[in-house]
Amino acid sequence: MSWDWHYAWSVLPPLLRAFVVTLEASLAGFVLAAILGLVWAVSRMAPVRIVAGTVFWIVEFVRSTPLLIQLYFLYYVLPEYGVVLSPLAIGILALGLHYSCYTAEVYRAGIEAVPTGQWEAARALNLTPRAIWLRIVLPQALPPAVPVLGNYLIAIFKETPLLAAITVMEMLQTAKLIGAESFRYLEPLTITGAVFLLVSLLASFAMRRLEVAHVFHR
Amino acid sequence: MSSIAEPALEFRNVTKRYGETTVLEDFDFQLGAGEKVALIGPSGSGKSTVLRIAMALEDIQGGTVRVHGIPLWLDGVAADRAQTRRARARLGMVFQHFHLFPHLSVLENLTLAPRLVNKKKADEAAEQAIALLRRVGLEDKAQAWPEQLSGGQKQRVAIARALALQPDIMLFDEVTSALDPEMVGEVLEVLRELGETTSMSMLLVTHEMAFARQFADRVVFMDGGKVVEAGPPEELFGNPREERTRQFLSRVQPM
Repeated sequence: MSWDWHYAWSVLPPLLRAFVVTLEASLAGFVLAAILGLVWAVSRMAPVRIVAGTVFWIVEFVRSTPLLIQLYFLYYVLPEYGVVLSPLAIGILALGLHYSCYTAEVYRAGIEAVPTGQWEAARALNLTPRAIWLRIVLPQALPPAVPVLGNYLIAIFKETPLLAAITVMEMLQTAKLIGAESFRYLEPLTITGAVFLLVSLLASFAMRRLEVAHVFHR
Repeated sequence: MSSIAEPALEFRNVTKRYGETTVLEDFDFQLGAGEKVALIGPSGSGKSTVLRIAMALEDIQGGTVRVHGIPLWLDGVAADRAQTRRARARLGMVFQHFHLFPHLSVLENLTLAPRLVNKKKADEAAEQAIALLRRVGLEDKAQAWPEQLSGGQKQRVAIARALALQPDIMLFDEVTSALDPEMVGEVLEVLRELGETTSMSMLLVTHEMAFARQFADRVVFMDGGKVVEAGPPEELFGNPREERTRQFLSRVQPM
């Protein structure tokens, strides 16, 4: 079996349409991971021990189980409790939840890098805990976290083919179906891989630019 | 306003431990309203801890602490959050390492708390901030970033930031210890001016004995978490009663 340009060209449009789904899942999953991760990181430092402890174990649990199992679990178990979501929504939920436990660590490192003196000076000025977080700590903790978060965006993007397992019509699933119809897998799978390669390389390059800009800004 | 008899700060039987280490033991101390007191003593004697407890930055294991009569701790029991905030509102603190907020301009460092805590309007807070910067000789630095300032300038900004909340009591925690020698003078000059022109109560932890002698109404010598000796500066420096005081003074100010 040799490469057929004509066939490759003909399968490109459906693959690119599926690429849009891949992008949607990556971006929405990332936004969810970025927001949830911040919630985890801040509540892990809550003065209430039960809150901090519960969050610690949630994060440990999610980080220590495979994403694929989490996907299947949400896909098959949520409907039993009356929660019916589209496969794409479940995929986004799983990606966001799974990666939030990694972004939480990124935020935690940023928060811990803020010197205790900043907290003390803020408390001595009688700022409320809310104001200390929003005005003093997070503005200093978040900028260094941005480049690392960007790397997780790329990681999430590369994990999206897992969503094929729960029938999301992203690129891999589409490539498989095209292959199954025509018995030619070489072109659709190659194109799919090439798109991932290209986008990841571009994104890494952009992240490095961002990192450099960040270093110079400080 | 508080009555004349009521002390600005009151520590009674205060015990402070970090794990096994006892920092303060049955510590008693009062700062009179309007009084200027210098706390001196060897490092590890608990001087800075006294300031940090007054500002409610530290827990204690026993005793009573009052700020203008408002209990922060009553027999080892902490006040609730609202009361702690009321007590803190009477206090301003300046730290050894300044702790300016690096992501805010000098002006914003001074206006943030008045706006958020005292609900001042932005222009009003800015006006007051400029007046305070003028007072510490830095009005031209309002738009600068903290990292652009020298150590002495940073500390003067930190003093202005604490004053912006109009406290009744100022706590100075070794405010010149982190400075290069040539910058100590400009900061002490600001303290001297404050001492001469305001009626604020001031508690100063310092290693600058010559300054303590001029500045303070009363000098308190601490060692091992207790007050060893206290008195007017001429007496304590000129004619210390306690052997430990004499030893300490002979080490820090060779005659």
